[in-house]
Amino acid sequence: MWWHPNFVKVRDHAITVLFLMGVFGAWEWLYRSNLYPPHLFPGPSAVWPALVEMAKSGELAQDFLASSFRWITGFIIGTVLGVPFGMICGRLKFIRMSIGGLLNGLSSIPKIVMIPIAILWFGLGETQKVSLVAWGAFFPVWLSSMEAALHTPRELVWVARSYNLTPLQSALHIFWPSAIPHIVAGIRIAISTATFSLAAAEMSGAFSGLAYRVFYSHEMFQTDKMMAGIFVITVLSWLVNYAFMKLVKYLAPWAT
Amino acid sequence: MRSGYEIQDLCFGYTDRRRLFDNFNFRVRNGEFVTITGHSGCGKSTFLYLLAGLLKANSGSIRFNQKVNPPPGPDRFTVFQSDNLFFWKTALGNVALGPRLVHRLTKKESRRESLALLERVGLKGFEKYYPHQLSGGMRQRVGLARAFAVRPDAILMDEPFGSLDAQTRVEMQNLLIEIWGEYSGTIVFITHDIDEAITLSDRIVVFGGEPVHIKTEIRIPEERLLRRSKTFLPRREAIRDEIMNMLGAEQGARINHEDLRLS
Repeated sequence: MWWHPNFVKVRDHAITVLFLMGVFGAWEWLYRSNLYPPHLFPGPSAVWPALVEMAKSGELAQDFLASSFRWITGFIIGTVLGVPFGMICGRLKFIRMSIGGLLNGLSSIPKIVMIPIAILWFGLGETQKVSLVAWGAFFPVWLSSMEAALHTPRELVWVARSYNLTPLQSALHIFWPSAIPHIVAGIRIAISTATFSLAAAEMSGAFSGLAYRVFYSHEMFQTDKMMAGIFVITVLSWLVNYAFMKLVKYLAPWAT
Repeated sequence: MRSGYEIQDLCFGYTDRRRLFDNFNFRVRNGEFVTITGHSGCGKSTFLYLLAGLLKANSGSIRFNQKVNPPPGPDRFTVFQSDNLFFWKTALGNVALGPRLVHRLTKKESRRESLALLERVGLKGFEKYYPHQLSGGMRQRVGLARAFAVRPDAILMDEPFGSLDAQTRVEMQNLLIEIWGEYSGTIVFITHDIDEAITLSDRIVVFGGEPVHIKTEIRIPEERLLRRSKTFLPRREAIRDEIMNMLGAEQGARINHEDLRLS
């Protein structure tokens, strides 16, 4: 019935599904209306066969695995470095005024500017791509961790002092957990900056990967494959974000 | 040796030019419940943070149990108005952290002790709830349990019930009195609510500023259990009037001062 909680759930999902159907419908209609040259603007009915073809030939799986490896490895490196670096910068003024200032400067460099440097230092292999993803993931996580540690609520710091905690105990029991909600927000931004960096890296000197496929298909004028690649990247980004939020809700229900 | 607080010639200012405390003297007996009231910004909270050791005096001495100007420690626990529970811990986790880290109890012991305290503050069955799942009153109950869990000699309370509704506030006052009776210790309590002060304290101190000085002090020897009764009403009225007059007098002086400046 309408008052049942499940009804609300179903209704909310129905809104999403109906909206997406509308988007796809509009996309298909635009494609068929010939308002724009169809080969420049392939619709869902043209993209789907291309996607199936890519899946059947194994091309899709290969690209997916190549991109996933780079993304996951780089993302883990970036966040694992970003959190402690940020926390230390936030709590220790000396570090913040020295290394923190340097990192602040580096963080404002547009991520694609780093691609030539990465190619110069690491060549065109996996190291170059992973390092670019790590670079992209690092800064939002570092910045949010630093801000969180810097602005730990005064009262919580005071409780730690009243308990006579050692610096290590304070870090473990107060500063780190109280920073988690901010770090979660930083990681969500890092998910998209890492994806951006990966796409940029794969579009400039790669031989596999989902973004490479988009770029290559564009060069070959296979616009249907190009759109299929973009579609896959979009769905994957959404899935990663969704899975991350589910994980946070499960591990730290107080952090969202 | 528990001897309470003895403050001598205390000087403190947030800036060099403004001295919030200038040779201020004060005494709190061991086991006494003292309430401080006064206008917003007169220095009550600052005084509390000085007592906790969270702020450092410029000169003068704060003696607590024979220690001179002691740094913050588990013998003096501060309860704030703002909700400052560990939001990443359950109600039980919030209470148990102190005993575990301060008294180095085992997980099992601290858990048992904390469960008893949570039950004592009326939160049986809510051990596994996170602060965001609890109401404001329940969160302050956890805060009380967390404070008493480290068995401090003094509890410093900065408007702890300030954000609660009237009904919950009365419940919390009763609870505080009961638990305090069991655990003893000194309490320095800050409030703007004069009725709350009358219900709770052995002594009410009205602060004026600035520099901070004691405008009046009222001792209330009557039994706390009787203070909510009808026979106590005239006495309550009298005390309230006295405090209101003291606070009102300063307000009037301020307005006159403003007028003079404008003309």
